[in-house]
Amino acid sequence: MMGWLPQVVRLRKIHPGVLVLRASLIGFLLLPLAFKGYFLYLATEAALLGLAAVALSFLLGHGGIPSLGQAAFLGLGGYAVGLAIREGLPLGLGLFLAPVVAGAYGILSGLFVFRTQGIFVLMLTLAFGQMVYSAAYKWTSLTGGDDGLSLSQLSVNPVFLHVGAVSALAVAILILRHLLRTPYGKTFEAIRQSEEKARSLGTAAFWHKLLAYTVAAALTGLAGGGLALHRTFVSPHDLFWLTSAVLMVMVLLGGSRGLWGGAFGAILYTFIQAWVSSFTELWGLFVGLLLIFTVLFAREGLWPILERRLGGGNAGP
Amino acid sequence: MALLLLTQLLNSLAFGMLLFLLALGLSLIFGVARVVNLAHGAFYLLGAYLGLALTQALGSFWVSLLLVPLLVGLLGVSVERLLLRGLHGRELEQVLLTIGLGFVLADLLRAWFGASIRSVPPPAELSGPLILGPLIYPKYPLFVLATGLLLFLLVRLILARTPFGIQVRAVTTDPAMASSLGIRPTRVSLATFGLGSALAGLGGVVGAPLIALAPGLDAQMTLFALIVVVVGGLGRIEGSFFGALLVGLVDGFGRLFFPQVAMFLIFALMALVLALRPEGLLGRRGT
Repeated sequence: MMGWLPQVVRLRKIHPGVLVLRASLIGFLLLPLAFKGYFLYLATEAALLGLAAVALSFLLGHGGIPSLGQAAFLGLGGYAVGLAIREGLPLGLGLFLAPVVAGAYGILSGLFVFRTQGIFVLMLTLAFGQMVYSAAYKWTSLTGGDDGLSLSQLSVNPVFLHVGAVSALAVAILILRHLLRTPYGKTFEAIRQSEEKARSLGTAAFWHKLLAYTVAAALTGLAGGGLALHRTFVSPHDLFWLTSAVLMVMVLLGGSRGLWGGAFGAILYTFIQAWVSSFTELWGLFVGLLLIFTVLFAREGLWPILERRLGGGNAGP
Repeated sequence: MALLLLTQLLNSLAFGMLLFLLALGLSLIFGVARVVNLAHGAFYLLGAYLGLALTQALGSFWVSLLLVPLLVGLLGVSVERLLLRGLHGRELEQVLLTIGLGFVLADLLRAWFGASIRSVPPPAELSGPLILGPLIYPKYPLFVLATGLLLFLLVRLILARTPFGIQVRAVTTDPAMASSLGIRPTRVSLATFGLGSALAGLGGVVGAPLIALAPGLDAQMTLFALIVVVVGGLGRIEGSFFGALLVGLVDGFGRLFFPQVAMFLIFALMALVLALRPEGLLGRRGT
């Protein structure tokens, strides 16, 4: 029974090697500032997708919520920024609206999704995500339909955007990791381990999950807003569940526990993708094979392995 | 107006039957193997394209109607045996694997058959209209309707009366108890996977003349099947049947009266069911 105690004590003290590893992850993302060009473009993409992946990792690895509708939040954030700019609103307001709109949809869909449990959550997040996809497709007068929204008149300094993206990623990881150390976070983890037990102890599991889902949705929306600025284009295709599966690949590839893995997976994925897309058009085939490969062979994820190897044995959660 | 409504009613029911074939496979597989097969829509699309190719090659719709379910069923069996068995009990990993498989299949189909929209003509025996007094209605949807009804009764009979059906129900209810009574859950699960995939393939062949083939149809069909399963409830064949009919009707009449928001009516239906009966209209608690 008391076996867990020393482990909690050890968690407090993170091995310096792990800290170096984490700092070098952020350092790697800041490195392209010296090179600019395509390398910088990819790094910004990786940082923004990393933000979305970290949000999913928070849900999946710590809350056991397998959300397959994250692409919708990404897209809602993107359209919020895109439409705000088209209507002539200031950029800051657009970036504020992105997480608000995505978070609102998170609350709305979460109210239904968390009426169920287990694998149904996956099916329902998928369904509610696809709903936004078909809305983006059909509501042509608002979203431009298949043509998407072009923001080509916009010019955000890429260096400025990149620094913003990396700091958003770092801040999100730190805040979420702090959240996991609070009583709320402990309860959230307890619900993942045994929802029935947590409930019988008087925990309002529904509201805990809904809150986490909303936070993750808002962060993903922010990432989507950033991506819209970065790509200067919002396409309904990015709202397709392929994107949700891609985020899932990132999280599983990097490791779903500890949040750093999501960011690492996003970087890894973005660079693999840039390499693969230079010789094939078969996008779904690549994502599908990567997903199958990850599930079969890299279940724990690569980041925890790295932290153990390079970080000197004991990796914090 | 009455004729229009009747026509649309028949259209909706035919589409509902198609959805039933999909949802039935999904529900059977989930019940026995505890896997939500999100490659189901891709199996449907594979069946449809295979049916198209075989019909052209062999010159007979009926031969491909027989062959394609066998081929897709074989694929399902090998997927279960080679990929999913090793992940037994890991629900999330299994689902993600089927998602990956669905993407791979859909992309290969697009590469092979091209991205253009293909409408498939119904076989000669079933093309053309049927004239019933004032109502003129194409024969083919009626054939789909009859096929769906027939399969519903057939699968019900199999589940209720045959040893295999009893084993399937036993494993669905309690795998551990079934296993201790001498049923091999792995073998039953393999067979069910084959049956479920074959149903999806059959749906593809039957559905191709009804719904034009295009990339992206796989995801749409998976989504429809999921919604049917959520609405009707998992674990019972009646749930899939009536859920599919309901979704088909809402979709059909939604398209007729509110063409702009038809898709959202289905989501609204799903949300309503979730709010009132999270386990589905005919679902059992705890499955």
